[in-house]
Amino acid sequence: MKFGAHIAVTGMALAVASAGVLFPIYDEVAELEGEVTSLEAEQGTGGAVDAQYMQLQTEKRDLEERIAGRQFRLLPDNQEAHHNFETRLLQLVADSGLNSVRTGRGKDPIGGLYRHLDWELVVEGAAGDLDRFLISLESIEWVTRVQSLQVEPGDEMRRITMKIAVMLETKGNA
Amino acid sequence: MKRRKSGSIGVVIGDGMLRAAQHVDGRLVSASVPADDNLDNLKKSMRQLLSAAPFSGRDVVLGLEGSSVLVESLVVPAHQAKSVKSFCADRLKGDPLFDNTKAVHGVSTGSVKSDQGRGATLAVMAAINSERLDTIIRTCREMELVVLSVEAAPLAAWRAWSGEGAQARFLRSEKGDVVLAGQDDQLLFCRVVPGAISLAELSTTLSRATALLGAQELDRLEATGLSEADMQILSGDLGMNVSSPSEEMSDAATAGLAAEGSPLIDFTPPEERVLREKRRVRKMRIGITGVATAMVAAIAIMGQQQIGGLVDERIALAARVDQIRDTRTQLEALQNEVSVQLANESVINEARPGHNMSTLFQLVSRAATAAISFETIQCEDRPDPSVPIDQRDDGPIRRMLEIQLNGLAANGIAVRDYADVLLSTKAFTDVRVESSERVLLGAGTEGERFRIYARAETR
Repeated sequence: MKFGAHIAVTGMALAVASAGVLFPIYDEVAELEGEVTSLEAEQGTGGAVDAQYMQLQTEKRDLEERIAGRQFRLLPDNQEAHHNFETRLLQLVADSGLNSVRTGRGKDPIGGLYRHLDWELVVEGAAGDLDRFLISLESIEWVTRVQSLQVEPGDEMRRITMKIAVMLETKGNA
Repeated sequence: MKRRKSGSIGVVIGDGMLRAAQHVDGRLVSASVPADDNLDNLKKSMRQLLSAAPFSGRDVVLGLEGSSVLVESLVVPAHQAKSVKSFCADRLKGDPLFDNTKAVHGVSTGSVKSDQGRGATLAVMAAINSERLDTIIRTCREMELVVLSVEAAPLAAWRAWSGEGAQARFLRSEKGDVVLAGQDDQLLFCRVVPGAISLAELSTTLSRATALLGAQELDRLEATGLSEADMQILSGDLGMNVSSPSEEMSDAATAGLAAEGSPLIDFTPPEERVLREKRRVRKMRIGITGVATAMVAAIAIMGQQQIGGLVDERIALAARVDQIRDTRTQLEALQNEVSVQLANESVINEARPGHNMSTLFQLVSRAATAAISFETIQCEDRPDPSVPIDQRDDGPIRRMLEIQLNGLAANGIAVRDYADVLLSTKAFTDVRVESSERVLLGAGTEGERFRIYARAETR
């Protein structure tokens, strides 16, 4: 074999060996560059997140202040709040001079546009008592609605059947 | 440490003497040692020679002189010009030292312009005893010397210095005299004379050389190994200018071997050429491999540095991206909270009744006079039936209050008056007396049983 051929063979062998050494490095560099580019792109798109977060916190604080300043609120949707409202309702009945005959609570909150929980009150009393009850009901902080009102003659007093709904807070997705 | 710039070492192996010279940093370094005729001691002598002066490297050009070398200048007849080698071999046939079987032959040919050799080829023939050559080569291998070429030392002396045109040179040494002649850099004539040549023989030899070279007249002879006085005497005797070469030259043979240039006749054995080629290939391979390894290592180091930098960058970016993801998650949660709060606010705004039931009840009850007595009152708060069911979830719902009043009145006029009063309050959009009939109430009393339907719009 001639000198040139020897050198060519050596060159080829070195090229193959070099490729064996350098290609893994090249691959690793390419892979890392891809990851870095991807992360840079992600960082670029997420650059405004902090500002959005701060802005939204301000909005939330303003909103909470606004809601806290309102005369009426929504009843929290939990058992304790439900129970407290029922107690308050019966207290209103008693304070108005009505006699409670029967109280029934809807089993579950009703969905739809406005989530609410229903109570059915059967009471006895005079028209003035009912009037006081309705005024005091409309004065409490919770958003309520008398869905039906039925006044019937009773044994000694009028029997009044009312279906009252209290609006519940919306539950978040999380 | 500065690397010395040096050429190959020219080594002359003569009878009883080894001499060497090398150009080191532009200076000619030389040495000589006595050598035992016994070739077994050659290695020892060579070691002594190479350590006798600051020689550099292991590349040697060997030149043989003395009894183991034969040099002759010949004029080959025209008809044998094509087979000069066999012509020369035939001349040495039967020679006890330089026969074809005992020596390696080499021939260099040149063109002849002279009248004497017109139509013939001028050849310089050299022969080296094979046995001695093998011993020398073996010794060099054992000493790990790289033999670049093997020459006849008298022929190599021509390269000791350069000249132009037809030249003649006379080299004197203890072992004998050499007469060389040639044109420019090409040696065309050589005569080796053991011992000192006589003046007459020198004159004849120069004349023959002049004739063979076809030169008009050689008017100058460059000589080494002669004192100034000898040169002046010789100049007078020969009738030509005899001078020293321009460069100081104590040993033309070693200087010629150490000088760069192609040997006139190369006696390097084929196996030594192969070995030399292998060494050359190996050297080149090592060089290329070294360079390639250095380059690959450099690239790999740079690559690793780049990888390190990228890894650091990735870690920093990943941390930042994780932070952004956390913030985004918090943002989503906050958005959810805000949307819930907004929805609640919307419900507070929209779900509150557009009326007060207490006010409505007061209107119904207080509008009644003594002529009106209610038996039942029924009030229903329900979505406006004119709004399609599938649109009732879009925003505030239009609702209406439907009121059914049943009772007894003193008469029909009282019923109508009551209905008119309700309508006049403008709280109701519709008030209708659905039925009103005269009934006997007992004890001869009559009354008016009525049913009134009233409707109020709200939200």
